[in-house]
Amino acid sequence: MDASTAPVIVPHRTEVPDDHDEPDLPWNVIVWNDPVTLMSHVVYVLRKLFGYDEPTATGLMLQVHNRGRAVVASGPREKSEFDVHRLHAHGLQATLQRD
Amino acid sequence: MRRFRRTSDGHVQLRLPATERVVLTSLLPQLLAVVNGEEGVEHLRGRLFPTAYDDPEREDEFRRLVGDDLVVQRRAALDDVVATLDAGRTRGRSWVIDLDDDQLQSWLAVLHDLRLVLAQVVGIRTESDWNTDPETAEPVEIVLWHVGALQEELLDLLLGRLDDA
Repeated sequence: MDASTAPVIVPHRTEVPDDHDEPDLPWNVIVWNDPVTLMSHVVYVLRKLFGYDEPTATGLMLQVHNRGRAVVASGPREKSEFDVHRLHAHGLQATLQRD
Repeated sequence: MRRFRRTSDGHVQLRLPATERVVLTSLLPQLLAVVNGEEGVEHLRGRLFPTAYDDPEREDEFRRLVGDDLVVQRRAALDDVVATLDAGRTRGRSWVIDLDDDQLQSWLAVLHDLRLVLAQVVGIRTESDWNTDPETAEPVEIVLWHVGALQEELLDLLLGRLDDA
């Protein structure tokens, strides 16, 4: 039996319907600008939840304010969902996204 | 006059003019009604409970995971603030109470939520929707400014404590 007639063994591959199960790509936690939330509230919440120092938190807040959004953290889905939940509990508009 | 102030022993004291205490006390049951999604105010609720995903399927999954935790947390913060407004003592024309760290966090949460809801009532959708003219301001706008000033003061204090840590 030469190579050309050898049965081709196709490794079994489960269908991945979408990207639900790709653990490698990080999920971005995004905070969105809103016209009501105080700038100092955003700075405080980012410092409190993520332990950012003052310049980092202020930089992120300004990004939110000037560009409409900022990625404030990223990581595995579960951790990012936890972060979004905590941001929601602090009254910020936050979503998860993979770019 | 500062409403939130740090005392010499490191605690935080809230000192509210009696009238402001009355206004805040009257707003809290209304905020609770919004948090609970009561009839007639459901439309004011969305801003307190934002979505996490664009994809509806993932959003459903996320909601199932989170359950009613956001409602529970908001009710607990409201309970805390109602309790502190019931306690305290009168000093002159003001009402005074000492707040611990958990109570400060509850106050921050409630003041923030109040602003989010009041801004919905006023109809603030973009930064240009803010009325800055006291002459033409509606009462609800004045309350919104006032709650904002209180929240700003509290944040100032909390940020100062982070700097000291």
